[in-house]
Amino acid sequence: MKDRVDQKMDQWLKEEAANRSESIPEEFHEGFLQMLDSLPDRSESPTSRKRATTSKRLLVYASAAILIIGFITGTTVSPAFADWVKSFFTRPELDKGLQTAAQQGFSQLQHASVIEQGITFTVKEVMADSKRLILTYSLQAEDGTALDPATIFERVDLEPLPTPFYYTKDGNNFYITTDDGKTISQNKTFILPSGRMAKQQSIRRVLTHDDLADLVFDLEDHAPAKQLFVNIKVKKVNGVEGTWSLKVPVNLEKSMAATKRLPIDAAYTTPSGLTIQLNDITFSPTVTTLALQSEWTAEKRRELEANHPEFFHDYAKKSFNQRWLHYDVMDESGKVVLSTTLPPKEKGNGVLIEDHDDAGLSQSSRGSLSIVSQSYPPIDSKKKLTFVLKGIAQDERPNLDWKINLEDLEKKNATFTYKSFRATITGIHYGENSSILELEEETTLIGANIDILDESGRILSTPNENLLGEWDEIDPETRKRRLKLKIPVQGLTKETNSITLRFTSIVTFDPNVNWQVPLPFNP
Amino acid sequence: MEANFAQDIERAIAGEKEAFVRLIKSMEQPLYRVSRSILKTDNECLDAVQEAVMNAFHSIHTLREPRFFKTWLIRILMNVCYRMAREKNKVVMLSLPETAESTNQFEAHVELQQALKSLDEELRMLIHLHYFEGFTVKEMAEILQTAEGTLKSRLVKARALLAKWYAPADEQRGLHQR
Repeated sequence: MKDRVDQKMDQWLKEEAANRSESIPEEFHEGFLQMLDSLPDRSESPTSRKRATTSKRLLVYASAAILIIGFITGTTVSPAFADWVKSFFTRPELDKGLQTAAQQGFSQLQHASVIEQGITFTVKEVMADSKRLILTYSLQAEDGTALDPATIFERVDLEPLPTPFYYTKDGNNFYITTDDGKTISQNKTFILPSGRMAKQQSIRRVLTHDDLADLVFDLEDHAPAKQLFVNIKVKKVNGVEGTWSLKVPVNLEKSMAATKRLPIDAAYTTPSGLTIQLNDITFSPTVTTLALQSEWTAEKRRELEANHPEFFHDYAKKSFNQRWLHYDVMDESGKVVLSTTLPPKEKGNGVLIEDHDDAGLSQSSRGSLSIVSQSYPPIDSKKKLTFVLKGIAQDERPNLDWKINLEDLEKKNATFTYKSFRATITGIHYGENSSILELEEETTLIGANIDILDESGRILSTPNENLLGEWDEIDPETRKRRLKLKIPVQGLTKETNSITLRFTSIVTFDPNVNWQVPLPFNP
Repeated sequence: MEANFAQDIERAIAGEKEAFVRLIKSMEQPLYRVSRSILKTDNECLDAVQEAVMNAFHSIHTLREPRFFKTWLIRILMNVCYRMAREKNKVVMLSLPETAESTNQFEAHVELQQALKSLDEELRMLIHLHYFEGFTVKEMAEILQTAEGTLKSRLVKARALLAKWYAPADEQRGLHQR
């Protein structure tokens, strides 16, 4: 019977597809033809593409800046540096955790190399603990000249971020195994701006310096392992095909002896119905990691389902899980030693280095469960520390309409508030066919998702290549930031009487929490 | 593959811009529909198609097998769309515009659209590529870089979920066993 249902559904889908008569929207069609008209000749640069990608960048800045905290580097090390330094990992542009661990002698010098087609691949130094592994390597041509070590990766620049990102290419592969053969690096897929899909195993960053490069890996749990192996399988270097294969051992005994994982198992439910569990804290040589999980209570979930059924049916489920727990960890004197919101520019102690999703579940099967481990530069495990919850930032879908009479706006600014979120229209600069709407938001982390509608309910075009935005850093006390936007709105003119701003999603911040947990320590 | 289409692919690979333009024009419908099945607005789709076409234009000389042109282009487009969807999901400040008319046109088969929306993104895309864009399982394996057997079983799963979605009204639609 199952097969027959399947056959019927197959048949029905075929019929539906055959009977489909969708037309392409005129606006799309026109843009499509325009794009083909503007295709450059082979020798020209792709100007139209530049316009298109630029339009997206403004939106990417904030997220990228948040995601790469801990790697704010970019300076080039002088050629003499490698000659006198004891370890490559004490370089000031690396995060504090790696520097500290290297200074404490956790790194291991290596001179493992392989020669193929006259090109030598050499691993110079490695360091690993329970969470991360870093390795430095070089490439050398037959005549002894150094090759760019990043040549085995595809470079991606995300302006205005100072350091590029690199992704594996040409079938080159790096992965980590334990002494019993278990792979503990996770296969991840990245879609690059070139459209290429890059698969690589847990390489978090590639950092070039002099004629060398560091590979930084995130590691999965490998508690009993005494030794790890970095497996290197390179198939193409600088356009030359071959097989550069290396298996580099990394002794873990010293770093594991210095690693302590202490259970906490404290739980708290916020007045708004979010249950938070602080599972454990791990002190490793390169990072201190807090493991946390959060989930809506059954009652709150029912309420959400009644008010926002869209969370439970389409891919908006992702937003349902988009929440950020804000907290500080303080020492006995009340000083914040680590925090979710220390500005990255301080790039020193207490700054979030990595926020790892540990749920290991698909969006549809995880419900509202979020499990994360958040790593910071190492803190002293012998100190008495206290975890202080500051609030919850949550991506909400209120779908609220805010109608603005434009005549009134000339007399005074109009302000919209939703929970902790506030938006104020501070001005409109009218043009002939389109105008610039100035909007100031007081928000947490990121802004709202807004549609702008005219009097007839039509969504007005807001081409984002001309969108301008500025934002302040998050205030560590209120966990809020100010965001100023200049939004070009096509079809908004002096003749327009009113517009409606439809807030389809807003990130709110709930400071109504009261939870402090003393963290375990090693007396 | 039609003879003209195949010839144009050869010419485009050899660097003839006009042939490339003809090929892309003939694929406007699938390019729009595939992007629209991932992205939310027509403007985003146009951005994605523009970027994918530019990528294809600048790398078509690397295409070794002309018969893979269509799957190759769709794969580039899907990669761009997924990247854009991912970026938008991370930092969404403003919705991109779209007209009410275009939404209505796309939602011509509202019921089917709703049923498809109930599927996970991955399964929805499989149904879309297979039934609405006419790609064979083999071609989809090329586009999605996934084994054919895996795709077949996922298609069965997708159809089963769709059948389940329609189950309450099975009598009216005649989709289930009487």
